[in-house]
Amino acid sequence: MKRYFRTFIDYEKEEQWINTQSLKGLHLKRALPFYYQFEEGNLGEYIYRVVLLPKDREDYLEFLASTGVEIVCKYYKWAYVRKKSEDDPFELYSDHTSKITNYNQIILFYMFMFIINFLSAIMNFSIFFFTKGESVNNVNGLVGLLSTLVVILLFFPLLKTYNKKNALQKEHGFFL
Amino acid sequence: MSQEHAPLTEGVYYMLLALYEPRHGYGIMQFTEEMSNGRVKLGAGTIYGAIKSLLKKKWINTYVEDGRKKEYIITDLGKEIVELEVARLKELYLNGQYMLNQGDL
Repeated sequence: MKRYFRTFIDYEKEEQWINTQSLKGLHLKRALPFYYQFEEGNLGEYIYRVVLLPKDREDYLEFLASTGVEIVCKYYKWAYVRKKSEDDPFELYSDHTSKITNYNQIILFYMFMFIINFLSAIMNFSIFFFTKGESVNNVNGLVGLLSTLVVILLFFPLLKTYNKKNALQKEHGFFL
Repeated sequence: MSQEHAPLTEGVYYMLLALYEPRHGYGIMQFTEEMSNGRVKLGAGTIYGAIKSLLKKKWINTYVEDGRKKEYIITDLGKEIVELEVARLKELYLNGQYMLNQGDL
C-alpha cells in the first residue's frame, strides 16, 4: 500500500496521474482532496476515469456498475471508477452530445468554485485591509491569498475545458 | 417525408433497435457493438443520458425493475420514429447508390 499527499485542480491531470500510477502497478483505492491511497498489483491492469457525477449520483453510479464498471471510491460530486484494461478502451462518453453535456457540467463546477474563491478573496482582503490592529487580521490575509491562488489555478482548466467544448461544438455543427 | 424529427444519432438509432426486445444498459451496449461489428461502442455515461432523454420523450419505457438492473423496451411512438428514420436512411442510401452508379441502380 502506498500513500500520496497531493492535490489537483484539473481533473484531467488527476486522471492522467492516476493512470500513470496504474501503469506502474499502483492501483487507486481511495481518493480525497489531499490524499491518495494505492494498492500494488499488475502493471497497467486498470484504466481509471475521474467522473463528475450528475444530479442523480446514486442512480448514475448504479447504472455504471451494472455495465461492468467498478466504482472505486467517491466524495462529494466526484467518483473514481475503473475497468480492466484488457477489456475495450474504457470511455464513459462516446458521442458529441454527451461529451458536450459532460464538459458543460465541468465548466459549471469550475465556475462555481471560481466565484466562491473570488468572493472569499475579496471579503478576506477587505477585512484584512480595513480592520486594523485585530489579531484575526493575519488569518484573513492568508485566506485571501489562498483564495486568490485557487482563482488563478482554476483559470487554466476552466479555459481548457471551455475550448475543448467549443471545438467539439464546432465540429458537431459542421455535420448538421 | 416530413422533417418533423431531426435525424437520429447512430447511438440513439442502435439503442432503439436494441430495445425491440427488453434489455438493460449493458445489453444495449453489447447489442450495438455486435450489430455494428464493433464499430459503434457506446459509453456507459452516454447510454445513461440517452435513456433518460428517451424515457422523457416516451420513445422507450421501463420494462421491469428488478433491483439493480432496470430493463427498457421501445414504445409504439419509438417504433414510429425508427420507421421514419429507416425510410430517411433508405432515401439517402438509394440516392447515393444512384449517383455512384451514374443513374443505374
